[in-house]
Amino acid sequence: MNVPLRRVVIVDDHEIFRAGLKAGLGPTVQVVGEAGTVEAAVPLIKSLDPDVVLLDVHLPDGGGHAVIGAVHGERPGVKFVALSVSDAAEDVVAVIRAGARGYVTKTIAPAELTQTIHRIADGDAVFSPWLAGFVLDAFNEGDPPAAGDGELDRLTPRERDVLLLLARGYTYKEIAARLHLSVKTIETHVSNVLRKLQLSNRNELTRWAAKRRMV
Amino acid sequence: MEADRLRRSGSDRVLLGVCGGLGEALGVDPVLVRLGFALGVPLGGIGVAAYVMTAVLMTGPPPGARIRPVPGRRQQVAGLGVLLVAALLALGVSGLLLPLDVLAASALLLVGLGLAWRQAATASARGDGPGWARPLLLDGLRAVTAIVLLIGGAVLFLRQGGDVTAAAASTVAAAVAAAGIGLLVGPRLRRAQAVASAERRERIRTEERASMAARLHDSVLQTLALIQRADDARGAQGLARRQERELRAWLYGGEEPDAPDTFAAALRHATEDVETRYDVAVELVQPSDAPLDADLDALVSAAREALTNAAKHAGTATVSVLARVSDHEASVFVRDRGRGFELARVPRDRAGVRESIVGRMARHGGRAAIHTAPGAGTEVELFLPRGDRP
Repeated sequence: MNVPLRRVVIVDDHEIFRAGLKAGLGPTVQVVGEAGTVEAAVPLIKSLDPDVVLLDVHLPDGGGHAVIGAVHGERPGVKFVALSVSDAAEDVVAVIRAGARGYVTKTIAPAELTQTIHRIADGDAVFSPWLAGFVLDAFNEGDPPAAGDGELDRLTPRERDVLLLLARGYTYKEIAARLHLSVKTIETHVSNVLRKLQLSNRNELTRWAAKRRMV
Repeated sequence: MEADRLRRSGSDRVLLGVCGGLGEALGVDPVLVRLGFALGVPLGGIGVAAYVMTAVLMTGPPPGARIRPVPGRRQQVAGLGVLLVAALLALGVSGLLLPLDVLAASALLLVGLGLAWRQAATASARGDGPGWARPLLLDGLRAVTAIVLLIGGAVLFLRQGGDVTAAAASTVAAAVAAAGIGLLVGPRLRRAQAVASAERRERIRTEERASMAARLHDSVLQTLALIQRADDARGAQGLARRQERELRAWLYGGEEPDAPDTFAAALRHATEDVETRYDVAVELVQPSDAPLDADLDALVSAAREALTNAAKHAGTATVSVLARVSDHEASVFVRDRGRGFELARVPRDRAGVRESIVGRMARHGGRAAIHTAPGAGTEVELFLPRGDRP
């Protein structure tokens, strides 16, 4: 199968980290631009119109969500992945709710990151085990939502199964095999969970997140 | 802080510079202050006692200040002395002066009180700055004097025996004078203390910064240097991992006590132990936490056993762990993508899986399930119900 070349922008304030990231991405990913601040990132992304932006959760002049907020309206085709080393769950959730399609930790292996970039560029969502565990617990905590709450505030049993396996370290392929579903179906479930995470009004999401730290 | 202290005046002085210092500190003409003290003299002679007490409370003129020599004001002092004696005599004759024993008693009490207060104030404001290396002897002397004066005053009062009105009068007079002086001096002492405590806070902050710099140097910089020189990638990874863990624990976990007191902390402890011992990376996900109890402790022990097995036998570099705990249930999943094994062929006498994992979970009302096959990796699932807890 012919793998398309993906154009990527890296936004992170640590130059050494950007260099390391670039070195490991392989031939199917082309880094077309780099920025270290929100101020520099926004015009750069608008002019380059990349497929995917790797976005640090924390930037010196604001959170990663500020970049997404400024770009999203004008360039809806650009997709964002949040990168973090150890951040408050609150901040990670803020970036995702601003519109990021996924979240990975900075210790992710280069091959896996490359795979993540392709997945995101194809329109799928990517959850690290930590994010999956977090969402599972955040949607679980406290009383079940009131009757008036829409389907956005609830996870289906199938979505729970998928998240639980993601949190346990399973790949999409392994989850598909274990649940006797296709990889495509798993991707759909994860995308639905992402949509709920972005749109749900559950108070628990922020309240819960405020207490925790994602690794 | 020095500038803020209440000092006797060196230049504007008639007797001891008390009125000059007070006037300067309060922004009032010293003549008015002197007038105030003079008015206190007819009030049973309490003005004299108040003057002495204030003199004791105030510190001397700043070092190096120009001090008006005594000879220059000899006339003034003599005149004042004569006036004072005359006033006291007149008061004594007209019966307005408190009886001598009452006056002496209240004067002793006032001065003793002043000494004791000053002692306490300097002790608390001293902090540990080098500028406060005050001779201990002087402190001791002052304390002893204060106690002697207080006791003397009390004894004099007792000796009066029965003269309740006189005792009451002198007590009221002493209280009024003390309150007045407290109003004058109290706020300044408070301000001096606030300055001292601000300085102490700043010092603590500086020390914290220094200790953080030292810590980063000792750990992170050394490790980075080691990694640059390390030839084998695996060794470097191990170093980096250990360093990351240490730094994380230090930054977010505080200084961890030896015995962890929550489920998540205990599991992290166990995980780190296995990581260092067997050189594997454990990807630990534990979004929820609960206080550690005996059952959760057993769950951690079973998880540690499962981790150890994975690290020893699976032959992979990474193991994934998910730990969840709610009011109803706690669960731990330990998963590797290693070589796996055939469960049925594990010898019956092998204690590891059967006793340390399955048996232990059963004893605590939980259960364990093991999914594995040759070449397909291994996953150990541990469940512990927590619903009907007392």
